[in-house]
Amino acid sequence: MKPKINLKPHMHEELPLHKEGANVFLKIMTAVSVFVFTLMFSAFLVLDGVAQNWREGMDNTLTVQMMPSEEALPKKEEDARRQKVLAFFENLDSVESVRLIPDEEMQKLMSPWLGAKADLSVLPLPALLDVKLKAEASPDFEAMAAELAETAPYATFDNHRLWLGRLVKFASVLRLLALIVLLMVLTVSALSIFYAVCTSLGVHREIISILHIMGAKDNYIAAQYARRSFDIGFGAGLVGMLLGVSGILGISRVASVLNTALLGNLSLDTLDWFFIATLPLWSALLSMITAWLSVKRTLRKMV
Amino acid sequence: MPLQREISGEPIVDMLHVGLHYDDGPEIMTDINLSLENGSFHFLTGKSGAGKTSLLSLMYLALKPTAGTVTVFGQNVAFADRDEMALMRRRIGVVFQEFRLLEHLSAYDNVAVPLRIRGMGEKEIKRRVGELLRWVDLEKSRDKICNTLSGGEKQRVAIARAVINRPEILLADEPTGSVDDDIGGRIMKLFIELNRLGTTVVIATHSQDLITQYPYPRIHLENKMLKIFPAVRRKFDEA
Repeated sequence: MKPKINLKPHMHEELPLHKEGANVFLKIMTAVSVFVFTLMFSAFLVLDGVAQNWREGMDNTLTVQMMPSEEALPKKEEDARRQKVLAFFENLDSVESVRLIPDEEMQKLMSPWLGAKADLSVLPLPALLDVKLKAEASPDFEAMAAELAETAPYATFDNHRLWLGRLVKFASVLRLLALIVLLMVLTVSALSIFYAVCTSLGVHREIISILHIMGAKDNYIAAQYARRSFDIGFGAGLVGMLLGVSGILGISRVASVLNTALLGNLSLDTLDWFFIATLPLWSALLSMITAWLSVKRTLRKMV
Repeated sequence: MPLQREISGEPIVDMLHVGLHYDDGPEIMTDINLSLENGSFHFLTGKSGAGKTSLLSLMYLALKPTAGTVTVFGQNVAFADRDEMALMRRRIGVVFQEFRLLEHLSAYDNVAVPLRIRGMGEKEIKRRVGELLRWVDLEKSRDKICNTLSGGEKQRVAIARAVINRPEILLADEPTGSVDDDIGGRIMKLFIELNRLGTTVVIATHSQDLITQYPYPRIHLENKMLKIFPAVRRKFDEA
């Protein structure tokens, strides 16, 4: 009779690891971990892009708006009010240049709401000043606002840096949270593999003892666990990654209606997608290395 | 590996003032001194619980002594690291009384285990295992999973697994206990042949027939102590 041909390498594995009940737990745990990892990693990358976008928006500018007087003033007086504010900013040490936004530019800014041919002169729109601060300047905006309110109570300014800075900080906190979740997923996965391996070594203690007596080195036994863990890590990792990608695509569809001017580009680039596609491999490698080290560590305690 | 090993008078297993106890339990052996010459053949006797299995365990390096020194292949086992112990164990074949087969594997795969551990190629494994299974009359059962084999078949698988590596030391615990006289005779013939080729053999047995039938000295364990009796020659000479 011809010997049985082993089509699968584990068919004659001395340790029956592919039949273990814990495999189902490991597969589900790995798939969920890779799923969460995929989403969190994408969130990390997107938040990084959004924060970068906001950081770039933190240029050294202020937009000052001067509300028109409630009663109609002659043009000369209106100009004087504007000049007063213009002079206020020009006299500040931290200011590099001040520019009154001309009517044509205002027309362009308002065109999305009022149409390209609207007559802005009949509307009580505020006049705008574009103030450029010196690169190294870090003025006290609150004191500046108080002084402006005293000089020209009809003028106010938006400090871009202040609220963009808060947004960047917020994005950074979210990014840090995503990073913590990623680390937690990795730690929990590694611990689950470690305890599953320890349990399995206990279950197969007799077989391991026989293999040792036959002359097996710890590496021989560890290799069987590493192979099993690689298979589970890759298979379940693939499922988790595909679910994660489906999740990303779903979230992208919802996010596409958001204000991209505010949030910037919410999509992942080719390199990001490439890394996500390789996650099953990373999952397999992590599982394999964890199993290998766990077996080696545990077997050292045996004779 | 040479077919015929050089037999020297050097001890292949040397035990000096060896004591053994499990955890906080009582001593199983006290001040055991034993020197097995390379190429020797011994029976190991003693009542149940006398420590035969423990003495064999010390020889196949599953246990380390709690007192004294055990030297195997010239190396003090107390100073051998895990990998060195594994390499030494590969030179030792063991037949357990309760067989200790890998029950989920076939007879073929069980016998192949020591060769796979050594990293031998499947082609050579197929040749060697096939040959040995034919010899122990298990060719027809080669693909049977071990938990479906009879006691006698399991014993023959265990013996085939122990000798497949052509060990330098062969330790067998009641190797003919579960087989009929014909197979028992063939197994003893195999052990004697291995011994002629240089393998040091120790057979633990309760069988008085075996001891009187074959002309080998006897290590006897009693009251935690060890005595060596010379060979009983009568039946062997008649044979």
